[in-house]
Amino acid sequence: MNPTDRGRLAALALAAGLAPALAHAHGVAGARFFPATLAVDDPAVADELSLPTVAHMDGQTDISGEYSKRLTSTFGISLGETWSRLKEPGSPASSGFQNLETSIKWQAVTSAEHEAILAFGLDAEWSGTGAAGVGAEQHTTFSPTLFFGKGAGDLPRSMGWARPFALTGQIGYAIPSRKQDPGEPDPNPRVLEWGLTLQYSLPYLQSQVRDLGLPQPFAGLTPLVEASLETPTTGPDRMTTGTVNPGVIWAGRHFQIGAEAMVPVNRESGRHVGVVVQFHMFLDDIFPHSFGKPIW
Amino acid sequence: MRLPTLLTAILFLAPAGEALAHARLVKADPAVGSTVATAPTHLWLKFNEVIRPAASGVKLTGPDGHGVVLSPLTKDPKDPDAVSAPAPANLAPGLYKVEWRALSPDGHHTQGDFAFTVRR
Repeated sequence: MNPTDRGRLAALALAAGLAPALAHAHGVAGARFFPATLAVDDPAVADELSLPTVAHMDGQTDISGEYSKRLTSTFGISLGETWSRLKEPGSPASSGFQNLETSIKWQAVTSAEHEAILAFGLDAEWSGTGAAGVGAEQHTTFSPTLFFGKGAGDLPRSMGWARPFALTGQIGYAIPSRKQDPGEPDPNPRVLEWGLTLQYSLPYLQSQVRDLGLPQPFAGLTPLVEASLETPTTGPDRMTTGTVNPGVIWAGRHFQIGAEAMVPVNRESGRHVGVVVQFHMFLDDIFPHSFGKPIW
Repeated sequence: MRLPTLLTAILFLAPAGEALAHARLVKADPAVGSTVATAPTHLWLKFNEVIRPAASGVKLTGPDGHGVVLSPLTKDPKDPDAVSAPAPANLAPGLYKVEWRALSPDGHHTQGDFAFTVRR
């Protein structure tokens, strides 16, 4: 394999890896508001629309959108699509849609007292719905996933400065629908998809711990760090790849805006720091009596 | 307009009263985490949107661990997003915990708590 092919394959792998990571939701558990994080899906089900999410890294630009709808108060579905443009040095640019992504999620446990949420989901990336030129897989992939979120609000009041912290995460296992695609030299790996976010909520600090008198927009900010990682568990290459994303989310009553840097964890994950920004609407607050409420 | 400039503009143009999705506490008197020299006669809570006082509540727990639900919870005639409730007379010095539950007109329940101290 020549270096150009290697670069092309790395770009395609990155394309395939970036797109599924752009999933979102927001939720409330007691006094804790979990914002919709940009790289790691948060544990709540909600009526919401992320449009657009724009990510750029190493010559690849992804523009994606995702619509999430609650069927009941604890069960929801999502539909997501990503348009990608790849431009590798020395190669012509290519663009097209990634495979269509759908998911179902059940918010099984919500503890207001402990500011905790636990959810189970099944993500699917459907073959034949995207362009191979931008890395869309030729096979369908199913990913059963566990989501969790935990606020630190039940720490003692003597540790008040730490109570605005929250941790969310997800761990999923991507299972391809077939072992090997026609014409491909390597088998399709099964992949452990895992991620964590560490958040510090200034709104929580202001309303639960100490009113510092912060003005907007600072009073609505949540600085955070996300880590979105993938580890193949089958096949010849089992190196973990992904990004660590420091950034900030500003949440309002009807929408939020997030911006993060994307720092590759190793050379296989990327060569340069990327950036991702997102505009996210809380449909349950914008249309509480129509689009924004559960169907049942 | 470049994207970073647009995002910055949106952030600073966002309505100052908006804090979070659902009804959230944005201001209180006594202030969240504050120490006051004299015992308050009322508790005043301001949210980021209108709440329904009849379906909301405030509980005050004193340094002796005894909690009391404050009633009546009434709208502040000067601020539609704020409510107030009378505090028990002659609060003793010490740490007080305020627990609130709010129902917004769109049917969303939220809750929270904070503390303030009456100086000895």
